[in-house]
Amino acid sequence: MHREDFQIFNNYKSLHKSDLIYIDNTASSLTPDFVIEKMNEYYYLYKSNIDRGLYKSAERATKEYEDSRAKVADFIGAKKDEIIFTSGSTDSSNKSIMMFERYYKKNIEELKSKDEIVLVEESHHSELVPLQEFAKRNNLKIVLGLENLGDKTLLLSCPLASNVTGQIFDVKSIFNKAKSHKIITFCDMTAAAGHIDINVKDIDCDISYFGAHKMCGPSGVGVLYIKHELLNQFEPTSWGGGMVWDVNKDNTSYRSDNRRFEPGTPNIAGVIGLGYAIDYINNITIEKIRNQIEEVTVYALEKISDLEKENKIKVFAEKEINNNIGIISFEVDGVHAHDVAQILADNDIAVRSGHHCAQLFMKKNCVSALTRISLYFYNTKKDVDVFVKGLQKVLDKFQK
Amino acid sequence: MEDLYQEQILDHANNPRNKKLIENHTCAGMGENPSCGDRAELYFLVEENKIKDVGFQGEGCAVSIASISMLTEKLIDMDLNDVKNIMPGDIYKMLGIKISPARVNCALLSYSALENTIKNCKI
Repeated sequence: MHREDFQIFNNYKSLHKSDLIYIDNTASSLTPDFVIEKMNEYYYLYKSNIDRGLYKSAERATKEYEDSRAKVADFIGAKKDEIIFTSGSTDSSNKSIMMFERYYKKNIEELKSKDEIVLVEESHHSELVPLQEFAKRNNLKIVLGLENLGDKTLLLSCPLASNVTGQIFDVKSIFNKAKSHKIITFCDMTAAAGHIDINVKDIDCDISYFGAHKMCGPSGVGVLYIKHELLNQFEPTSWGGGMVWDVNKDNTSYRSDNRRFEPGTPNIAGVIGLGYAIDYINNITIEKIRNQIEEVTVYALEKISDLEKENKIKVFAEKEINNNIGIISFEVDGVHAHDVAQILADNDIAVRSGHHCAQLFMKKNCVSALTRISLYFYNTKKDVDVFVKGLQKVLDKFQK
Repeated sequence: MEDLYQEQILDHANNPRNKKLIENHTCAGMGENPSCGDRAELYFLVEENKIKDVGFQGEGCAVSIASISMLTEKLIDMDLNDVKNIMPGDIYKMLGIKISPARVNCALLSYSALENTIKNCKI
C-alpha cells in the first residue's frame, strides 16, 4: 500500500540490484517523498529563522513551524499550547523528567510520602534510565509491575505499546487507576505513534512523548506533551534565546507559554517535516494503516507458526492482533540474533537484532538478544514471503 | 558479497575451543560488545611469563565466538610480552574474513577481553 510514495524502493534497487525488504520500522520508518519535498521547500524557498524576522521567508517559516504544532496537537488530541518540540523521544523523556524533578522538589512537603516510581519491564531505556537517575538523585525506589500502584507511588511510566512485542497497553484504565492514587503519569508513545489512534485526553496521561522518525517524519525531532495544568507549574530546564521575557544582569524572567521550554533555534525543517508527515498519515488514515499492518502481521505470524511449532524459533510477540502494533520478535534456536540479522541483511532484508533498548524485558525472559521485524503500511505479504525465505537460509546455515 | 560465515568461522562458532573456566587462573578479563551487550571472559594460567593454559566463557554471535575461540588457540604457549603486542589487525587477519563496520565490535570482543586480561596480569 502506497509504496509508490517512497522513491527509496526504486533507488535502492538501482543501487543494489535487489529489492529492499524494509521491515525495521520500529527502529525508523521510511520517509515519503512528499515529506522530503516539504522539508526541501523550506531550504529552497523560504530558509530563515522563525519568530523574529519581518521578511516574507521568516513569516512563512514561522507559520509553517507553528502550523506543525497545531497539526501535532490535533493528531494526539491535545491543545496547541501543550506541545513542546524536542530533538526526539529520548530528549522528551529527559526534559520532562528534569522538569518534573524541579516540580517535585518545589512540592516536596506535599509529595514526600510518595517515594516509588512504577514501571513495566517493557520500558524502553529512554524511559527507564532517566527515571533511574532521577530516583538516585532523590532517594526514590524503582518498582516494577503495575500491581504495585498505590499511595506511595509518585510517578508511573507506561508505554502505549512495547517496541519488542508490539503489545498495546490498556493505558486508559492503567492511568485511571493511577489517578485514584494521585500519581503523575508518563506515557511513551514512540512505538505506537502513527500506527494507532492516539488521544492524550482520552487516555488521560499527564506527560507523553514520541519521535517523528518512526512515523514517516525526519530524525532529530520529537514531541513532548504536558497537560496544561502541569505545564503551567513546570519551569524550564534549559535556557537561552527565544524563551525570555525580561533580561537583566543577574536575573531573567521567562515567557509564560510553552515556548519557554524551547530555547534557541529549533530543528525548523524537521518540525515542518513532522507536520507534513502527519498530513500524509491523516490523508491515508490511521484506520487504513492499521488494517494493512494487521493483515500483514497476521500473515507473518501464520507463516512462521510452523517453525515455532517445530521449536526452531521462539516467538516473543503479542498474538492477539488487535493488541499488536505490528511487531514480531523471535529467537532462533542456537543462533545468535546478530547472525540471524546478518544473513537476512545479506539478502537485503532489513531487521533489527539485539536487546532493543529493553534489557529489563530481555532479563525477565532470560534472553540476551532477539531479532525483530516491525511492519508498517507499505509492507506487503510479499515482504513477509521474502523474509521467511531468508529465515530458512539462516536455519539451513546454522541448524544442520 | 563475500560470505561472512565461512567454514572456519562456523567451525569455531559451533565448536568453540578452550571454552572453559580456569578456576586457578592467574588473571582474567571481561570483553564487552557495547552495541549488543554480549560479554565473554578470558582466563590465563601463566607460568614463568608464559601462557600455560587459556580459557573463556560467554555468549555471543558466531563472529565474536569464533574470534575468541581462534584467539585462545593462538595464545597457548605464547610469551606474555608477545601477547601484549597483539593488535586488532592481528585479530582481523586471524579471522580471515572481511569485517564490515557494523561487525567490528563483534570481531573485537576477543580483543577487548584480551586487553582487560593483560591489564589484570600483575606479573
